[in-house]
Amino acid sequence: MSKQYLTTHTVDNAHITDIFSIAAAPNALLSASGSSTIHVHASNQPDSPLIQSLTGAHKLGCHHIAVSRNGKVAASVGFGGDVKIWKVSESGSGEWEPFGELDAGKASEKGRGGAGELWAIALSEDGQFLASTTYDGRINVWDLFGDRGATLREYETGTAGSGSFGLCVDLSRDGKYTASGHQSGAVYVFNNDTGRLQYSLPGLVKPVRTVAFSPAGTRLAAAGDSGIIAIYDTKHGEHVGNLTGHNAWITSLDWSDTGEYLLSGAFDGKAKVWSVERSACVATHSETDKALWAVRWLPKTVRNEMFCTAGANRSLTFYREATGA
Amino acid sequence: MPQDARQTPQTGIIIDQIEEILIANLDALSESQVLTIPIRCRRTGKVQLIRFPSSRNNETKKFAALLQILHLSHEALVAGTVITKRAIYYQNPELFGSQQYVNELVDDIAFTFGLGRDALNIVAASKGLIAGAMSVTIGSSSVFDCNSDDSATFRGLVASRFHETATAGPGVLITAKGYPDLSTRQFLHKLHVASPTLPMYGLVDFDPDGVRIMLTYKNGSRSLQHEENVTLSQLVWIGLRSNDVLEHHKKGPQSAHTNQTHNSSRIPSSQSASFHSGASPCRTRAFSPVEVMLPLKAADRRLALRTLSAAVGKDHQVAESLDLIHELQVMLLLNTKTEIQAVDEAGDLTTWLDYALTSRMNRQ
Repeated sequence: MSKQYLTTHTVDNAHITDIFSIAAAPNALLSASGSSTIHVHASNQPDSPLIQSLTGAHKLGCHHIAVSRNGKVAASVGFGGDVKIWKVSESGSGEWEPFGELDAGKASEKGRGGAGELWAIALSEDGQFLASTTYDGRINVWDLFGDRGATLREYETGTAGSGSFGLCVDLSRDGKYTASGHQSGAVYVFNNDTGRLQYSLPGLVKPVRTVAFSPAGTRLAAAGDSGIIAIYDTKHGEHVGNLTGHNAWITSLDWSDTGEYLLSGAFDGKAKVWSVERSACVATHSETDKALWAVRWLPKTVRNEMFCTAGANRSLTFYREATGA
Repeated sequence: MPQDARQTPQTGIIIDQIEEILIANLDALSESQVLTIPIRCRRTGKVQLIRFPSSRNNETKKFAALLQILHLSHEALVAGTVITKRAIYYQNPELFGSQQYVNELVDDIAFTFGLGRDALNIVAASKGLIAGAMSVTIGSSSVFDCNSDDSATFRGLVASRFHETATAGPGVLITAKGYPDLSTRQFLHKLHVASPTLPMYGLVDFDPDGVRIMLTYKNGSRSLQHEENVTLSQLVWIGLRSNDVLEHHKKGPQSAHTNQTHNSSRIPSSQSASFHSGASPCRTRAFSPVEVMLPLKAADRRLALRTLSAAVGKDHQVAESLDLIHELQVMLLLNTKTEIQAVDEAGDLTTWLDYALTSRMNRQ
């Protein structure tokens, strides 16, 4: 029993270099690349036209972009370690405007300046909280509406300053948990209420490049260079299953709105949709044989389920579920 | 080496300049004044006087070291011979302390005079290695620089007689064992001038140092910008590239070897066609040149970031620097570095090189 997805359209050469990260707001798709400009495409319009360019956002290029579920706040990280926050204009124009920065270098605690450079980020549902990783394995949670000069939570994943590179991070929708995936293959879940490590999950041995909480927060999916998607139960910290089928490093994961399906993207250009309940791949797509760096479901509007893939071919490809399935 | 060849029109000028410094110091000595040697700083371009005596210990040492190097250079210039930096160091190891110290001072002196180091008749200790039949190759084939930190890659390629057996035709293999010394770069530059159509390819590890080594061959080194005729703007970066790393891991870990064997035996024509139309060679590359994969260290990331910053800073955004920027960004994203595979009995590296070189040549 497979599902059918059709390519609706492709925005060719949406960026002049590899697209490294995308984020889906209710009506807009934000994309970040090796160039300094962030693009905003109208994902609710046919052909998804470019509606805004945030030029000069990150001089050395941008590797991570995230948007809050309510679509009001976004954050982006550049290769130079620069973190910018964006918000939707209150004028009602729908335009994104700068909402300050996060000076992580300055805020690094305990005299370990410089190493506090951020890498991966995730935003909470309303955009108030931002979770981040660092090169040396620290995980931080910040209050973007409060004092940005200090972290709300700081978690260590190794002896001070020598943890394994935090390649990816996610926040549960209720903001209660932070999860991180590391170069070492380790996966951690932290409790933001208590400020403690909740679980150190049996990892994947090889680098973990993406982690994602299910919408209800009961499951955590993690994947990376092992080519396997591991599913964990967040209540008890148990490894409950694997999704196997990718033949390449997995770069990106995203849960569908209902939590029934997982979307994954890999370095061989293949995107897959998985039924979590049946532990089975229900659709495989490859519009390109170049690396996919990011895959995202679009927040469900009136139409059918849609998702978008992006990567080394510099294009944004949009898919929708075939009707009648 | 014919000794006469070492006397150029510049020689007289430098001898004069050195003698001027020595005479000024003799005068100072007779008047019981402080002795000085003017040195222009390579970073700021400002002239600084190195004094003797000095209250600072390292200035005293620097003065003595400079004086000795000037003396040895003067001797070589007058006699029409050359002296190696290594030989200078062994004249007085206790004074110099390290070879690096000698190297720095020699470059300082050359910069102060506004000349290349070889105008001082000082050359690097022999460092580069070369293999191949030069008389056969010039004008007909390719030059190939391989630079893994150890020279195992070079020795492996020579042992397998790659310079004679390469599908792309006979060529010359050159290594400077890491960051290239001036002599190797001058040699390659001369080769290029003598034979401008001779293609040159660089093979380096996929790590920040590998990229820097490649850039040093290509554009010269930042600290030796006063040296001329040492760049190779036409050098092609053949590998290792991010594609080689990704390709290596597209295949399942267990089936990797059998897949590779299949791929190499027959490359489907549709794929090679797409390759010629300018598509990425990623799909058609057979065999993997990748040996080990390691995470980047903090120092690696800093070096990659500095190199990226410099590449972005260039105002002319030519395709080549976009390519460099892309490779560095992907390296940082993957947080992975890899070394070039050694040539083993299966000959994986030579097979890959054959493929990479012929594809590249067909495209040009």
